[in-house]
Amino acid sequence: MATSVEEQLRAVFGHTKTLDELCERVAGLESKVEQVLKRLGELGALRRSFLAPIETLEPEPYEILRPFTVVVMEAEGEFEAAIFDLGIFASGDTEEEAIANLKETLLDTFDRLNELPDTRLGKGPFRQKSLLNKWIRKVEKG
Amino acid sequence: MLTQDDAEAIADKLGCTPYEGRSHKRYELFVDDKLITRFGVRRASKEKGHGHLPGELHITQKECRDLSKCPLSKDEYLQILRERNIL
Repeated sequence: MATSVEEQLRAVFGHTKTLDELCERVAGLESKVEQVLKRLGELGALRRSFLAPIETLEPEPYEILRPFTVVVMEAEGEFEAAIFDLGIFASGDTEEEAIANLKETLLDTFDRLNELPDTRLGKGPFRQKSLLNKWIRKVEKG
Repeated sequence: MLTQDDAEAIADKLGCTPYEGRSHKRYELFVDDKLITRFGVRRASKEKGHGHLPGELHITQKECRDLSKCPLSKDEYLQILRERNIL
């Protein structure tokens, strides 16, 4: 039969003031560990995540110059995909849809930022454009 | 869950410019004629999640809700971006 830590300690050492204090602290720690485990379980259920390497942007005419990884997270019944370094985010009903939407957002952002002169870009988009041009490039078909 | 309605309400409040992307509609926020951020709206017949909005707008999910549902004004939003060194 399973017994608590307190019962086991008392069986060996009997009742002393120090032991009472020790049992109290152990009980406190057990309760805290239980709370932490419960919270971890909730967080795990709330946001499961995995990494997906992006190796191609086909059929779109773009080439990946620097392979990158997408973080896909499940949250509130939907999936969110993100490339945090580039500040690119997308959502989808499934992991696949979130990644497909992310690729679309990536290319759309690439095209739009390259369409605008640098003088019309704020800090964030300017940095995004500079990084995007190092990560991907448009392949001219001809 | 943030929805298409939230995205539209935010675009309206911030005075964003619509931009037709590949297959999703996007909104662009210009301040002093400089592009500050862009965010997408998922087209669908039913309500689709827009969990990407906080990332694209550089704010938390709660701030997104506040921006959509009223407590957070455009000026307050821009102040948040300044504090986060985005604007």
